[in-house]
Amino acid sequence: MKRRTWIGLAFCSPLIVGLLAFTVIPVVASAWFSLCNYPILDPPKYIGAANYTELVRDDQFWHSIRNTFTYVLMAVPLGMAVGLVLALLMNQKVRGIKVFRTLFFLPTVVPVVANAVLWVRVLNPQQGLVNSFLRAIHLPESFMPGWLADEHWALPGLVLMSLWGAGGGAILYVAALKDVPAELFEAAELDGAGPVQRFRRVTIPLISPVLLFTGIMGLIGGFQEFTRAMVMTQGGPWDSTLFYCLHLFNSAFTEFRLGYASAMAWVLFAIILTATIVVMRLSIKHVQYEQ
Amino acid sequence: MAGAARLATWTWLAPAILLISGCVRKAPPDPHVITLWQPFGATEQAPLDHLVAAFERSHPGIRVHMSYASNDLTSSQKLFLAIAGGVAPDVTFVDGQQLSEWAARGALADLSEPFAHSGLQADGFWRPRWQESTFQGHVYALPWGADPNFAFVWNKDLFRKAGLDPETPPRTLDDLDRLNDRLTIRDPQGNITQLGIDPMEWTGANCLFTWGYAFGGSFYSEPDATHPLGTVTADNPKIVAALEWLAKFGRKYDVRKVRAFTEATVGSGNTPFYAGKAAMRLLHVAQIKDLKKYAPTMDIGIGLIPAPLDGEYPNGWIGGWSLAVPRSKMVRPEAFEFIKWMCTSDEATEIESSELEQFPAYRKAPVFERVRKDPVRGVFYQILANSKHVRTLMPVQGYYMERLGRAMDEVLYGGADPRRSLAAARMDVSKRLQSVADELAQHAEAR
Repeated sequence: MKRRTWIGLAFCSPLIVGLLAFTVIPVVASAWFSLCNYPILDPPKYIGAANYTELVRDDQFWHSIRNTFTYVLMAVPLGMAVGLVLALLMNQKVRGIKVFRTLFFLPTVVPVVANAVLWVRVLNPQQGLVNSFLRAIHLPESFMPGWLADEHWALPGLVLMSLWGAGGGAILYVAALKDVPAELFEAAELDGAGPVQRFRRVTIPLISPVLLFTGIMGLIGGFQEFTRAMVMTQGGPWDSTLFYCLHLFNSAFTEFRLGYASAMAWVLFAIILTATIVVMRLSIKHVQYEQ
Repeated sequence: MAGAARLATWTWLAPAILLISGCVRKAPPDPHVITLWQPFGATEQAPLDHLVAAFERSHPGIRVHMSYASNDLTSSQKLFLAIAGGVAPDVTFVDGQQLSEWAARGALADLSEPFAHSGLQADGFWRPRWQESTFQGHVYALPWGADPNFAFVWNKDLFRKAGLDPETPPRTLDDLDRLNDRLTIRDPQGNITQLGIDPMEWTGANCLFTWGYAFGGSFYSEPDATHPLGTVTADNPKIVAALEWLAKFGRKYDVRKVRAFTEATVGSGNTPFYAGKAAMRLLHVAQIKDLKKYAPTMDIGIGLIPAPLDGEYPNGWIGGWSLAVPRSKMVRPEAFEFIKWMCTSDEATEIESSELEQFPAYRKAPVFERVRKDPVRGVFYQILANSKHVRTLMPVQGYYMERLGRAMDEVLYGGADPRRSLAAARMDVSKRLQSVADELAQHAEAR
């Protein structure tokens, strides 16, 4: 190899070493642990695929899968829709728009735990902001959501909370919207397209790569949901917010079953990979990249 | 080009040196320094600092480096990874309920020998706490604190407002049910605005331990020849009766409404009782200081938890923290001396009692002379002196508690039959206990 290549590799080597030490080796190790009985303090002992077969019989595993899929199916599309609406608003030419953009982005930089503590209060069924608003618009008391106190509403409560961070995606959409050439809108307008048609036929196709990107990132993040459930509900009430990663954590550090938890991690990897491939395949015809 | 090469070399070399210096095993530890991991929050920091300073004063030449490691009573991620990695502290706090499980998994060093030579006697400690410090006849920790769970407190003003005699607390659960009816107020929409008592304020398994023992139940039976780790008895008829009583409460007051009401007041200083919105509660000994701080003028009564007539009265169970040495460390004499001083010295037990407002596990501590005469703390002393219960003494404690919590949720939220839910919990935990017993037997064979 040329001397220049060596120097280039030397510059990259801290990152390569870091990647090997803190990502590649732990990933390979977890694949091995998933085939072992590994109670943390004793050395891992090979047990074949027993952890995986036990997963199939674990009610909590299936329950956590159901919860997590429900959450992803609700939170990801809603988050994208809210982000897109925010982006369209933030793309208007009005005074002080930069202030609005900053305000909408702010929740994204607030630490998750601080957000969680705040939202326990916001979602309180008796005194929280959300139900106070619902009372103000005269929603009958019998329809009032119990949010985190009610096993039917706790998961939607966390979905609602996730929309608080939609400003992060909205900033990306604003950037994409700015990239859409104005002459295309003018041409569409001349051809008689109304605002809805322009949005459907011009805006959406041209920002579709960014929509796909945020959708996939949302999927990955959604499947790994953990912190808020850990802080706000500990998986309750009645396991209604027991997310996959929370069950994984409990298996590893409450029940000392690191092998089982590693198997869960690999199943999660397979789920995320499959979901990503499916979304990529389904989107091939709909996503338009600039030539 | 040569400059670039030099820069590239250092780009690699500098982090590598840092990495290697962080990974290589250090020189033998300073014999005069003990590392201690503690799980408490900011409010306990000052008293802990005072304890450490007092120890260092009385033991010139030994220093204690204290740092925080979370322990939510079911898991202690940092400690276990540190033990597995061989970098555990010299001394760690361990909650009494965790000890059997941690000892069975080989997380703790056997302290039987230093204890035998320490001049201390097992009967110097409150018995339930001593039980929580040993596993299969070996000593794995010295008990530090003793929490008598719980005292029953009531707000006399709310009793007066409801036309009730403020000097007559409930004795039986029928009394408690009647008082609850009188003291609970709802708004026209059915939301609770004042609650008698939330018997599930101590959530999950802790709630079931409290009421299960009040009903006279038992959660486990002692080990015997056929069951070397004991037997799970989660569906003991008295425990079933306790859960049936809780389910009745849940149906009557709507468990979701109760939770919505109690959640409205988040934070230790903002519980419904301190805010004058709940008439009765179960008080932990460490909350005496909260009561003084957040409701200093409240006219309260304090007594024992009511129980069914055929239940256990006085009742309660004992918990608390202990001090242990992680397995990967040899038991250093300085470390054991520190543990012994923390758990039994007059000075440490005095600070524990007066500053942390907790009870020492050392029965002979002089502070108890004062405590027993105190009108509030004396009630806790009575519970401590009379109770023989702990949560359980099984090496599947974390799973047992999780499983009891789930059984409660099935009943309270899903309307499941208490007997069937608890029987399912018993079977699951027994299965897990059996696998731990098998692992222990394999270990013993290997040795």
